[in-house]
Amino acid sequence: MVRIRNLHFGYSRRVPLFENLNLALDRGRIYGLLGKNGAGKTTLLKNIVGLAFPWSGTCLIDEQPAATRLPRVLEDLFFLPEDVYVPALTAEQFVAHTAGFYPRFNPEQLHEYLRELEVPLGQKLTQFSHGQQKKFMIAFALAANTGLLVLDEPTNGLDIPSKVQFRKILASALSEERCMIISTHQVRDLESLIDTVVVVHDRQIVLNRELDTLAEQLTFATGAAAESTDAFYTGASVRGPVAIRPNPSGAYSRVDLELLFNALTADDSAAILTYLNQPRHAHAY
Amino acid sequence: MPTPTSSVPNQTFSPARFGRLFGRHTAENLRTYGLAAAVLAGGMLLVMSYLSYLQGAPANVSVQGIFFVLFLMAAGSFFSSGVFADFGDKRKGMAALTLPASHFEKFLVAWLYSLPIFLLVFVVLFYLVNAAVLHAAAGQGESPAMLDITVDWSKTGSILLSYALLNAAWLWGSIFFERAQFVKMGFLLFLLGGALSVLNFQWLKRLLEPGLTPVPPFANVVLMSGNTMNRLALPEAQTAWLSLLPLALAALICVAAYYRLTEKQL
Repeated sequence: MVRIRNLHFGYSRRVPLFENLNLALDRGRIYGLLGKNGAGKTTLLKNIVGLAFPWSGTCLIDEQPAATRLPRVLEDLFFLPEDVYVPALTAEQFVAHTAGFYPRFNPEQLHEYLRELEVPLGQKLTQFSHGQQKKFMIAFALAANTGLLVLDEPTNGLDIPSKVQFRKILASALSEERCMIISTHQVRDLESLIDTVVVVHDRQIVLNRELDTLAEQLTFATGAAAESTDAFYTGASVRGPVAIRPNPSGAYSRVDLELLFNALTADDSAAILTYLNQPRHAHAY
Repeated sequence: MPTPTSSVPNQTFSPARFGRLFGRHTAENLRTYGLAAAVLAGGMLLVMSYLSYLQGAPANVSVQGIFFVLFLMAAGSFFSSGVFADFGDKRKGMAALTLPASHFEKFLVAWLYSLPIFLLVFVVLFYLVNAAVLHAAAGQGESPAMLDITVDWSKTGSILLSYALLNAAWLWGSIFFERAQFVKMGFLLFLLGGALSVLNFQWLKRLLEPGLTPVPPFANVVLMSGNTMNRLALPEAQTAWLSLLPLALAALICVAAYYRLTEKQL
């Protein structure tokens, strides 16, 4: 659905944010986009949805350049930024004037999501708290049923029960026709939700891999099992030492996203990247 | 038999999509526009009634005409400079740019509000305020003459064309600058106007000295020779074409503003 090829982009010619970046995102998946502060997560999302234009390379949504912002592309795309904007309209007025732009918008779904997220109706959206505004826009974005749903830090500003509800609703909203991209730096919030992890680091996509595949390629060891000489990365946690090691047997090992992210963005990440990019492990970006 | 693509709406303009966009913009901004209209009416009422009070009589038709032009240009400039302000604000801009409508439709909504709709509202408000002030300032049994913009269409037309040009410039500034559009574009207009006048005069001076009197761009040239005044003007037929210059410039600047919108990044 999304194809980025040889993307070069930056806000200053002297400091490129992306160089020769390639990425492919398909329908039927929930992608978790991870990256350090300033790595360019939001900027990458802006390139994907056509709010920023590549210096060179292409960024396509269903074979259409995102930067042209054609209505037929936009009506199958919803971008929810970290800091949402709501007009001075009631929820009902907003829906009456906006839902028509999205051909597959489902009002029943919206009411169900709003009920689950405990968002009240009848009030002006501008009178909502920041968290309520965000929950309303998340519900609207999901009910729009667009093929591409891009969420930038969606759990920021949500209380704990709302985060739980958000994960539940998002999981239920995934279909074979939809591609969801969630940018976050709070990996714990989305660990149980995403099925594919994308890591942007050092101007490149360093990983775009399904969690199930990673679970078969790597062993996430804790305690005594972590103290091994073949570890790609070692760290410490409240449970004792932790490590990422090769998984030659292919036995399932639950992926620790935080540990994996730290390993991929560490100075000595070459070993794990080389291992993951071996022909028998590597997937096309 | 319809082709598979026949149901896909036009990607540049679709009446249904435009109608939705216009309705959404109206719903979102109606309150603000209503307040702005009230402030404009109040401002006009204050200034016009104060002047009538000072001179102790209703304003004559010429003074009413001056008020009409000044208020139109000032209020129109202020309003037009803000129509694309949402695109400069990151939060609002993201919502506006990713809303499923074409750039042309988004531009058209802004243009419609800043030119035809603004003009309509302005004229109605001006006539209401003017009538109220004239009525209040008139003595017993007096019926002061009221400005009628339909009497001299060539004059009204040139005012409207000038406003269209100014409106196009403010629209461009509104999308080009990200914040403080009114101040920045106002400064740019003064700077451009000044530079154009100076360069135009200096260039004419090199061609036509001596005796050249100060002359603004696109105006007739007057040369003084002793006490004799010689006027260099275009032939009558070409003067009519010159009056369309603001329209051509307005169209050109509008096209530039539209392309600026298509290139907008956040």
